[in-house]
Amino acid sequence: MLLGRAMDAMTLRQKMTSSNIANIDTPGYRKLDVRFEDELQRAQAKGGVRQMNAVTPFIEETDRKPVLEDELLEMSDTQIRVNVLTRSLRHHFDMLRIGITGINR
Amino acid sequence: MLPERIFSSFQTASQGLSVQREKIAAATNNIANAGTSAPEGSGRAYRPQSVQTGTGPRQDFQRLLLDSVSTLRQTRPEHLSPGSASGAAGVTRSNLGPTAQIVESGQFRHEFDPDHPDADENGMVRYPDVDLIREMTQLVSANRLYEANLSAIEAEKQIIKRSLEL
Repeated sequence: MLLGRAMDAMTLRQKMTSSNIANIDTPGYRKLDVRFEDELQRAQAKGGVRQMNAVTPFIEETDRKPVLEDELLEMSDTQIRVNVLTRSLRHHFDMLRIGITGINR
Repeated sequence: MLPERIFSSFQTASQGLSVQREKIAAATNNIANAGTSAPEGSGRAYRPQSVQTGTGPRQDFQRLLLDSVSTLRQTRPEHLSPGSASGAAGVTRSNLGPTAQIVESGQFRHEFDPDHPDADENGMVRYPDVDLIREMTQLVSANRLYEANLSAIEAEKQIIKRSLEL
């Protein structure tokens, strides 16, 4: 399911952000980024929903050094996205529960 | 530079933060090197730095408005015409944050100290013209502006959080 995949991507991104912050003063360290959303958009433009289900998040090493504020902003962005995802997952499961229990005979 | 997927107000605030940080770094450099003397003509003289800020590349209002109105059409190309998926390539994000640039001034002050190794034939030693009061003021104001940017980010986060509670 796509929402679960997106959740995986957010978990991975959070890990990479903590790695970027931990290595902020390490010489030669380059910022690690998790690519998911733009790949999803590309898949959607190419082949629609069926292609979107095959998209997996991946880690990419950029050529920039990590910047503290940017990492913290990215962290809050991830947080917001996780909030959105949990909300829609909850909605999905609520619908399932209504489907299972909500029929009055 | 933040990736495109992040909210534009976060991007603007991030640029504000980096400009203020640049200002603090310049003020710190100036204060640290206020007593760095160098003889006339030597290449390793410290020059007082100041940060010149400006707005990003200015766009005219009509284009900005059209861009922001038509983003929905451009991010989902197949909503209007199936098959033409190249519409998203031409999107330019409106960038409202400031840009910063470090400029060095060539002003020096001279002090009479004939025993100093860097003294010239008149006994004058050349120091960079750093005004400590000015630097301290810059430091404090940059600090406050940094905090203001942080509050802007916090406010935006609250707005998003509240809208998710609808």
